[in-house]
Amino acid sequence: MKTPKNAFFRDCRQLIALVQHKRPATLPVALLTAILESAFPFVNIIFGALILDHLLTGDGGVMVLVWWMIGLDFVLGCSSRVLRWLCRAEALTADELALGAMTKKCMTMDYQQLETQEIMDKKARAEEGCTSRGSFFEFVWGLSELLGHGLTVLYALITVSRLFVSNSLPSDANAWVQALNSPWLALAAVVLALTAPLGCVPLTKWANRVNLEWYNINVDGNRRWGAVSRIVEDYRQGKDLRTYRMSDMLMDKYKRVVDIFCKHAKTFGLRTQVIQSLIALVNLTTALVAYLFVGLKAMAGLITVGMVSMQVGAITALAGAVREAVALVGRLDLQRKYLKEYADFLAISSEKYNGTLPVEKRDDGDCDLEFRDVSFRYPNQEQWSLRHVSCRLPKGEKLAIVGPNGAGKTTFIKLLCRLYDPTEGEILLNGIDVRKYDYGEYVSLMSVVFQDFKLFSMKLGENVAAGIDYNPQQVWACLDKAGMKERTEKMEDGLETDLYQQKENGVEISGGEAQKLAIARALYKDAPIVILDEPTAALDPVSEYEIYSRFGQMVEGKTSVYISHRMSSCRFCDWVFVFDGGSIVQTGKHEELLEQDGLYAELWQAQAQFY
Amino acid sequence: MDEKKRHSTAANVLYLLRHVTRVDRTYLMVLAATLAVKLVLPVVATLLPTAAVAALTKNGSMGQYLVAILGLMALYALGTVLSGYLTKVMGLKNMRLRTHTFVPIQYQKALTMDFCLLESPAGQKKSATADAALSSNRVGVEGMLRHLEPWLLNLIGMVLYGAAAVRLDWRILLVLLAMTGANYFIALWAWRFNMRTKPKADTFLQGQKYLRREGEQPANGKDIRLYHMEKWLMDAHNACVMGRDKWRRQSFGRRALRSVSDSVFLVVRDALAYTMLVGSFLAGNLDAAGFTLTVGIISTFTNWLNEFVATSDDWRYETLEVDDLRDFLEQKDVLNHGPGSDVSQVKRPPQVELRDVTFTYPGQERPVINHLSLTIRPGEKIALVGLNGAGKTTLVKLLSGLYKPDSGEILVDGIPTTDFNAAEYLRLVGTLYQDVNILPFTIGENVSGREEYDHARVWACLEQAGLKEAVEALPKGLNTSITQQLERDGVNLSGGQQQRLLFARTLYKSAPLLILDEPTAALDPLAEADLYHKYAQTTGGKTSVFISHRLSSTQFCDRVVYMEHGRATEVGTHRELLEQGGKYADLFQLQSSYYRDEKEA
Repeated sequence: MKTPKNAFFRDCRQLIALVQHKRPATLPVALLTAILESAFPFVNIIFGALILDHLLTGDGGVMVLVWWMIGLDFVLGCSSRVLRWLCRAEALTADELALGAMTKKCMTMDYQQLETQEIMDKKARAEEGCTSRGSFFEFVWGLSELLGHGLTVLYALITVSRLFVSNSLPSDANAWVQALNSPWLALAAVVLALTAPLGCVPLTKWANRVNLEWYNINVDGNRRWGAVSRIVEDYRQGKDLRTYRMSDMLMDKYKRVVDIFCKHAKTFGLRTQVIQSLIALVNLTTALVAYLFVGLKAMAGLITVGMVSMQVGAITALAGAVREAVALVGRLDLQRKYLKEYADFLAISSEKYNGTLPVEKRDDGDCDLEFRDVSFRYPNQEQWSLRHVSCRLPKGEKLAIVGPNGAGKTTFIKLLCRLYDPTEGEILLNGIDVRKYDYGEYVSLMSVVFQDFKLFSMKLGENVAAGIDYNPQQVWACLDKAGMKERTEKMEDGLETDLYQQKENGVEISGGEAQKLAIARALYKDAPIVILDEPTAALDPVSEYEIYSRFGQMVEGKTSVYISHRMSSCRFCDWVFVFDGGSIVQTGKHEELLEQDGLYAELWQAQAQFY
Repeated sequence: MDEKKRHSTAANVLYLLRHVTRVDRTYLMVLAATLAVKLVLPVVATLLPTAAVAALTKNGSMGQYLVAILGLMALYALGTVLSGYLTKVMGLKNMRLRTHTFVPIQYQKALTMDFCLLESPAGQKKSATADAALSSNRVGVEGMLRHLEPWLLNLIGMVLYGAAAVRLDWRILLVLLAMTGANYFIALWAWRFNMRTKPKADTFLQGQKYLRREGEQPANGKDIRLYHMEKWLMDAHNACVMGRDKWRRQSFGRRALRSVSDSVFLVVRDALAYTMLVGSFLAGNLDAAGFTLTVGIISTFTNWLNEFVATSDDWRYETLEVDDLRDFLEQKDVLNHGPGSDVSQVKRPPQVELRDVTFTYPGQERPVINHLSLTIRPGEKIALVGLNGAGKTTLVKLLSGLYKPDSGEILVDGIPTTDFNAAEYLRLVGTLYQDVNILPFTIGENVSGREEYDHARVWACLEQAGLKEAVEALPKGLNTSITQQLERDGVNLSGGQQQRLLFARTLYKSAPLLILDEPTAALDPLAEADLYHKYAQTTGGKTSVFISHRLSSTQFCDRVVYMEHGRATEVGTHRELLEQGGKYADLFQLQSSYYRDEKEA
């Protein structure tokens, strides 16, 4: 039983450190707020009673007490409320930064890990842990509230201690008066008052269990609901939904999903409501005990009338604080578990071997890349995507890669870029295993335009340079080479133009234009190896021709790889690799391959027959 | 665009209630019961200490004290349970109203309104804000309904307790009213600030969400790593966080000011109340119990008041969201949704004639389709080619009946398309759109468009589209879901398989007018040639239009239409156009040069 407790404190420390790192002011502000807020109710409890007593006994100076009460109310109330807003602002920002840290993690972890279902699941849990199920804001707030409850207990005990002081009674005092005067009875009453909140602990646990069950049942329903509503929200689907009359089916599915959702909400909601009612009833016994004991004591003349309200207030506050603290510890423990998922995600360590060798910086960009008996299969897959691939990239020349869908062309590129490491065999750069190089240095050798390249809704110039600081002349030069200069010049803000509608006044560009920008980005990087994967799929024949005819100039003096389904691309390349079923089945020059009776000739013929 | 219509908060509450009372007859009754219980409960809470003080100071017997305390406690317990239960029931009702009444109303509109409106930038904005109004139980429609009960409760409470307070001393009421007023104006001021600055602050939030979403997307991870984009994107993200942080401080500062103003008024209120109460107690006009009761009433009144102002404030935000929803729902369709010509009189295959058709997207100056005239003969296969931006895809939307020409007309067998009911017209067309939209439902449902379908026919279509073998290999066959969004055991189809599935869907519909927009872009040469072959086989007896950047596809079509700047500038058979030596010929030369040189060589 010791370990979980240690785990609790260790996790809490770790999470506090995370918050302190993001927004150092959050926790101190939260604690100060809690201290002020916990004192606040006691001003009225104590002064209210004193005022009443002074009135009843006819002593003077009532108004002095009134002014004190009002003054303290003002100072404590005002400052704690203002601080609470400040705390909220701090913590919400900390939450946003915490989510950002997850994004950063996704960007820097091994790519190989990023694509696995396991990591995606971890990420989903981490995200849920710090958004819908909890947040640093709630966690920090919970911690400070715990302090507040502790202080309330302290204040209340000090106040209640008055009850334990026995009055000196006349010796002829009545037996029940004597009993009421006993400190033991006071103790019994306080203990009895405290049994209610403690008695609620199992009820609270029950309620939590029900909620958890409900949550687990809902996970599935929520996913379905999300999937269905995404369809309606995506206007592009509207064309197909209308043309193929799918709306009724969609509405039926929606109705079924929410029917189940509402049914569960009703069943579980009412069930928790019953438990909540029980908790409320049990807690009322505290007030009942307080009123009975304190009231009887007052009737016996052992305490003043003012003291009645003071003590009832203090006992209820005491029990309330204990009740809240118990519930809070449970909640904090849950929060800690949820946030732990987040901390764990950030702590995922790299699996792949990362060397430290710097890449030789040579002006001639002389890189000799060789695949030596490389085989690869994706994590958790049985089928080999590449099998026994051995080849050398022709240095300083243009290589075309062709082959049917699923032949392993893109996988080959991914391995070359070290997005994945080979399952078997090795890839060598200038004779040394690429794993021995520093990863960042290694990828700086590659300019790649992937089939599913990505441009971001940021400034056009930044997109080309992949960073905020760029050399405008160089960007313009690359745009010119990629055939995007004229179009960019027509844009009002030139390189400063925002792309896509995520930004207000963002410019929508066509698929072809995006492809040209991605090519410009590859050129701006000016790496010795240039790889283009299906760069003309979205282009019309004229743009395609432009790329074809510029390609030689774009990659002059570099090693380049061009993957395409359009066989025509092989014409302007020096070499052709033909992939099929994960292996290289043919290599050679276009003319040679056409002579052979193989896959290449078949692919070529399939397209050329029409021209 | 026209200015958005704004309704008052009261008008929007009534608007929602009109819908509510139609579907939920007990709603108002439960609401009234909840209010009644919640009004009585604080009275009991205030009476409890009062009764205690009364019993103690008036030398009542122990029995009286016990009866008073126990009785009030029992009443309080009952009230607590009842109010908890009723609140829960109201919550469930409100949720059900959102999921079963208001969301379906919105969906129905989104699924039946004219696509051209939905797709326009204005329509998309409206639809996004309408989505937001129904996105959770805390905002928009459900938020407004949820706040109905506390709003009424606090209003009634304020009036009742205010009446009690005024009996005590009118000056106290004056202070309380001043407090309400100040509260109200500060809230209004904070709200105006919010309204002014929120759009900007929201762009920071959207920016964060966008960067997080895209930055975490595995597919984007390749470019991010290869181009070392991490710093660039994270800096942009953190700039958004800080932008929002600054705004939040300003906004929260204004709300905190309300707390300060409250505290100041509470000082005045308490000073007045206590001076007065102490005075009348000392003068013998008030006993201890009365004193306790009055203090209780005044502080409870302050609660009512604060809550009332807070709820009204929430409503002020929610009413804007309800306006957004109403604005979305009230969009007027432009296509014909009334009765129209009988589609069954259209011959199979039909003749399609475009007569001087012009179309310009709203908000743009240059027409995308510019006085286009063209006749497609019954059963003819047309290849539509042209550069990006020539207007091909827009023509597809016009022919598909999703848009209507600004001028000129499209005639199907001599009947103008606008004469048909828009939904009926859609029966005539089977379009394979350029962007791949497959639902996360089962393969059978995707092909047939419904949950109950003709299995044999679906299999036949899959076979024709060349996807039968792949589907047969799946353990659940036609019942296999696409993607894991809905079912955990769903499968992902490759680009080529997706296009085959869409082709099968088009075949299943078997509409007399077939339109295929770039169906081979993602396919390898062998698959591409195969699809051409299948296409040529299956379009017999249909009038069809085929769009592709791969000009080789034109050769199995009867005629080629070359489009430029929204016009059909060259029309004829492939051979005719090549002989004509126009732009089509140039384009074909360009693309075929690489292949043709080889043949000549």
